[in-house]
Amino acid sequence: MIDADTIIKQLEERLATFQGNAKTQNVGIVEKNTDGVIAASGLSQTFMGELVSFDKNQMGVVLNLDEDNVSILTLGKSDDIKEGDTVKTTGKILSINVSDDILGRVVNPLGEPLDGKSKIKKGKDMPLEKIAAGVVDREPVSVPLKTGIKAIDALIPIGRGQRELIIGDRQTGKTAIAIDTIINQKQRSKKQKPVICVYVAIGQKQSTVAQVIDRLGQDGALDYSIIVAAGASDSSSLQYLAPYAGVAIAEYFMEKGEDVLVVYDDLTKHAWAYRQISLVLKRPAGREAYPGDIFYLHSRLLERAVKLNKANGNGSITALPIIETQANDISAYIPTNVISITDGQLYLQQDLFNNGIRPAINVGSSVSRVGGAAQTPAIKSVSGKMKLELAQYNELAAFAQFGSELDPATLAQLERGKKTIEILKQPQFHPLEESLEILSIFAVANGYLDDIKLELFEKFETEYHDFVKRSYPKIIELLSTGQKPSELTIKEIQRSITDFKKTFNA
Amino acid sequence: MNVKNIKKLVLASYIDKKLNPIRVNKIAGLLARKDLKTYIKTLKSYEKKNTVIINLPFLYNDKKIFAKMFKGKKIIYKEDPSLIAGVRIINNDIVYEHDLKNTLEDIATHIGLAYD
Repeated sequence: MIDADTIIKQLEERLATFQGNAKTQNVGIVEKNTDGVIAASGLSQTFMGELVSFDKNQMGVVLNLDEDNVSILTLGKSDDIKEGDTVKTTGKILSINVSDDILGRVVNPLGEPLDGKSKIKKGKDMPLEKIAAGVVDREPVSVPLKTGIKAIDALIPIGRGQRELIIGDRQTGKTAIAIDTIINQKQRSKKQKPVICVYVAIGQKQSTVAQVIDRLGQDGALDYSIIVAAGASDSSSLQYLAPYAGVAIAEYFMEKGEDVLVVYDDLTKHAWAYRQISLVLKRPAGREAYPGDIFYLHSRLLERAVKLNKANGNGSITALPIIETQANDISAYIPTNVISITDGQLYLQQDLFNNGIRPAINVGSSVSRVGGAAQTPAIKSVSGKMKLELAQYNELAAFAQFGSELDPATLAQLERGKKTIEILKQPQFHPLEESLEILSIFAVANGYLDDIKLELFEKFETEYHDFVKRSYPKIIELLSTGQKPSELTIKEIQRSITDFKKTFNA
Repeated sequence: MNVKNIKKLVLASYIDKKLNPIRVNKIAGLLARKDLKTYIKTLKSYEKKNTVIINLPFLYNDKKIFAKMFKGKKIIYKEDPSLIAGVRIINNDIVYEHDLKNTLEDIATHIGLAYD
């Protein structure tokens, strides 16, 4: 809290600088107002991205500079901006006020609270548009970002500072993966470095955003999360700005050395909003009527996901952009763009979802280009075998469809593959600790579940986890360190499974 | 007719930096309605570009200083008593403002932005 004397002193200093300092303003006249995009004459001194103010305190951002006029994107309501109104430059670029007070809050892309609570306390003004950190400031991804989802942590691991795309048709569980990941960031021990989460809802129904907030609240995840919402009923300008506001908030915490996770849900709607703005701005339309700089729109956003080196505070921003496809078409314009920008993708499929494989991740088409380096030795030691088995299973399963007689070895491999897929199933909102993930994967990869029926897997897994927590807490403790399990630990895990199987009541 | 040509016509409407009514009438008579509209608009903006409006709390006789500052431009002086110990100069789309009211407003804005 600043005391009165300091405030007065600061004001006196401020007053001293005012003397003899004329206020210079660049003033223009509104010529046209089309769907929230204003054409104004004058404003000869304005620059791209400058914040301008209208007569009734509405704000706007300069997006086009032409010979005789400028195009301004209004922020918020623009119905009452009329031809002939004056518009003034402010000399500032669009920024959002961020302080620690923003944690647990729901805000719009301008930083105004949407949760009915008080105004966000004054902190730092973070620019929405910023050039991403350069190569000198970065370091390779090396720390894992645990999602708590077995299939991801074992097969397609994500590292802090990575950009991993979640792509799939509607209703395939894309948001569920993102929400599970946020829930899993809850700090379980003081040793663990917490991850601050920013969930950016772009063009979504208010009811969907309310559900997400409710879910995060139920799991206690709101304490370390921020929600930036620009709903379907909000102007396209707010939808366009939402992901930039999200990353600006993330940068505030990253600069303080924190690890941040940003979920952009979803960038397809973001591209639609930008297309709408561009068409109103009369920018030339290209493929699918998107403007020429649609690639840059997403690349400059996702480039801001970074793992900073020690000299720069060692903070990180991990980005999980979401893209919605139509009829599994990942070769459409926006999906291919974002696939090429990101460091891998989680590909979700409708048929897997309908067959009860949830999360419906197509392991074959999903990749993580840098996450492998971030995987802990503990999970790496068990997942390597599983990856191979799954690949073999997929190959064999294709041949087995012909119905020819199969030798016992092939049949056993097929059976193991089915069980591996079964163990990777996981209910929504139940992310697992890494130690428990390792136990499940170890059990299936080493054939301890070969005699367990598929339909009993879920029950077996839950009860086995409880059993280990109760009777073998040392195993959990050892696996939580992330170190490769020793011979002794492996023997102990084997003993725990055998012991549990004796008591497991099928 | 495109805007570039209309701009040329606007420049041709001036003789010795003064708008010539004979030329203006002649040009206006030859233009179509749409072009005439653009011509008037461009003429207005050209006039605005070459005019400086100076608001002072009271009109005093020594105006040389401003004439020196804005050489070749038409200067219009206006009296505005609300400008306490200050001046407001409007040069096309740039407004220079220096008065007590503005200074106080600046302090208020600063307080609003810096403190909760």
